[in-house]
Amino acid sequence: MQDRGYAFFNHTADIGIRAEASTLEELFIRMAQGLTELLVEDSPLQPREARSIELTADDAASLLLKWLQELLFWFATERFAPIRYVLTEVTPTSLRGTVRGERFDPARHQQGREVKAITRHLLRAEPCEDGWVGEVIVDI
Amino acid sequence: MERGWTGTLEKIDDYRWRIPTSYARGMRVPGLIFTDEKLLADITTDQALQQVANVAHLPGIVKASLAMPDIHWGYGFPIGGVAAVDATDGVVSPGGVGYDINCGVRLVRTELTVEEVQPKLRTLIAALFNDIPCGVGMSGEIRVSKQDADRIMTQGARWVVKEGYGIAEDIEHTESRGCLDEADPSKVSSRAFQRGHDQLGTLGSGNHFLEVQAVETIYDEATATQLGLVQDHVAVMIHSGSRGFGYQICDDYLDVTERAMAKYGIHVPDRQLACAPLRSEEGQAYLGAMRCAANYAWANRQCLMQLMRLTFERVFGKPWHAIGLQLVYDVAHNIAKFERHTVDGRERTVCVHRKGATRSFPAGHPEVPEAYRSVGQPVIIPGDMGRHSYVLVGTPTAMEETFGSCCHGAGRVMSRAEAVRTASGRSIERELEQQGIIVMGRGRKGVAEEQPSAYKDVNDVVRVVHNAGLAKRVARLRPLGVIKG
Repeated sequence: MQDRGYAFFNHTADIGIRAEASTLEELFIRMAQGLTELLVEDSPLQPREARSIELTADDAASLLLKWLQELLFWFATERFAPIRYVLTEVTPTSLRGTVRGERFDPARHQQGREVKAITRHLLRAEPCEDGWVGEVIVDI
Repeated sequence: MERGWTGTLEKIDDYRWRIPTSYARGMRVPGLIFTDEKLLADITTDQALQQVANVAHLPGIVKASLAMPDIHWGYGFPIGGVAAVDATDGVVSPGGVGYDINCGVRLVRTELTVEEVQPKLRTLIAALFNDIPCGVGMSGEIRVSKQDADRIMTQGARWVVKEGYGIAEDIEHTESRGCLDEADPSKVSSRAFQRGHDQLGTLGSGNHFLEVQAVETIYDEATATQLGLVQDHVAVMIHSGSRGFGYQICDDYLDVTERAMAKYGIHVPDRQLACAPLRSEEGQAYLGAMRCAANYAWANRQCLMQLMRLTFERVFGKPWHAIGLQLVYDVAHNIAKFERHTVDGRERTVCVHRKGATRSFPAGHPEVPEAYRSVGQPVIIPGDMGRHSYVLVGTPTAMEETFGSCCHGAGRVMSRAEAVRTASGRSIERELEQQGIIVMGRGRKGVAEEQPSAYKDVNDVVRVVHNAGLAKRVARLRPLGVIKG
């Protein structure tokens, strides 16, 4: 695992994001940071706007999918790129918190990939020896 | 992460391989792969063939789970796969169409020669790059009200032509005349509307492109003439789809069909093969929404083409029709459609899923535009930006063996990370420029990821479909300039 807390892995036409963390909350944040890097590379982002989020799902993997789908939807519709996360509640079936970030600005930010979707292909979020591990493949 | 496939594969002839139904319990039909020894070596490096076998489990699938020579590992379905299911007891699978519903290609001919265009090439590519919205965070110039959105979803390219983006002849030269019937906007989520409302007339990113090309080789003079293709003339190819609108519809219905599988007791080996009976409420809802996205995509490519025509007018100082910018044809390569095909000696209606596969209907078929009825439907196959693209025509063999389908492109062989790594320290733009190809792209990594060596050689892929008889080569084009998102 790299210092930034997440890593990318290969899938022929697309890109996978993988992270490990001691808590589920940290796992979700790291996976979100991985997605953000795909969208805007290492652009400097400011926590100018806040959005609240509340999700429920049947299991941790489905919750991870919904979490990343929501962040992608914000970026796709309003160009909102997240940088700071305060998750007040994260269980394998529910998530609640606040996400701060700012709108993508071509003058100040670097364009990354156009992520079409967060796929269910090889999706996982499960306990491991040191906490939690998650993997997701995004469609480019 | 990736590992090779070592399942059962029987060679039928030089271009056909079979995965027998005995390979996995639950396979309803065999897998049939169109390839040759050379391309097979790439295909077996990942799990694409396992996906061919998995698709063979779909309820109602007839004849075979088919794969084209450009097949690669997808989600649930392989990319480069074709599956036809019985119209009465079959299922429809959003994964069998893909996220980019009606992603497709159109080719526009011109009366301009390469010699005439060459001095203005850089100006032309820069003007196209400036005029055609592409890349992340770009909105289209075309504003769509809720009422307009309904018309785009139900009338597709026909509506944007009525609004002035093109001419009636463009519609005649578009697959399904640019519109699928029975599109149902009430089955489209508000999230899909939100993702699609400002993206009409935008190219997108990733492997989407607009390319100015030269007609380099003619294989069949009479057919080329019929299609308006002349050696050393310039043509323009556009590759795009239904943008965020289609991606969201696919995503929405992966959830719906996953729940439907439990409801209808359907078991498939992979979660991403989620499907619903064609006649179920869920299946009908997906079809209604999918057709909206297909129509949006045809409207999108029609708008992109018209923007391109206006740029040519400005750069060459003549009306676009005076320089012969006529649409040769527009094909979909991610779609599900009801068609009549002969299965086991009996003609019947099937729902054909083409996921990274192009329709390839023969001469005489009523779906082929009148202007091309004597030669067959044009099949447009884009390659990578450093090599070639092809125009072929459909054949009776495709009708008999593949539900009138053929390959859709070169197919990736290298992951994006690998591509970026091999491009490190190099400028792909400069290398292509040395070959006389001007490339303009927005993302830092986009061009590196789409470099020619990340793809199979389209010449190999097209050789297989031509030799197997799934389509007949007409002309080969080479890139002069490319814009990418």
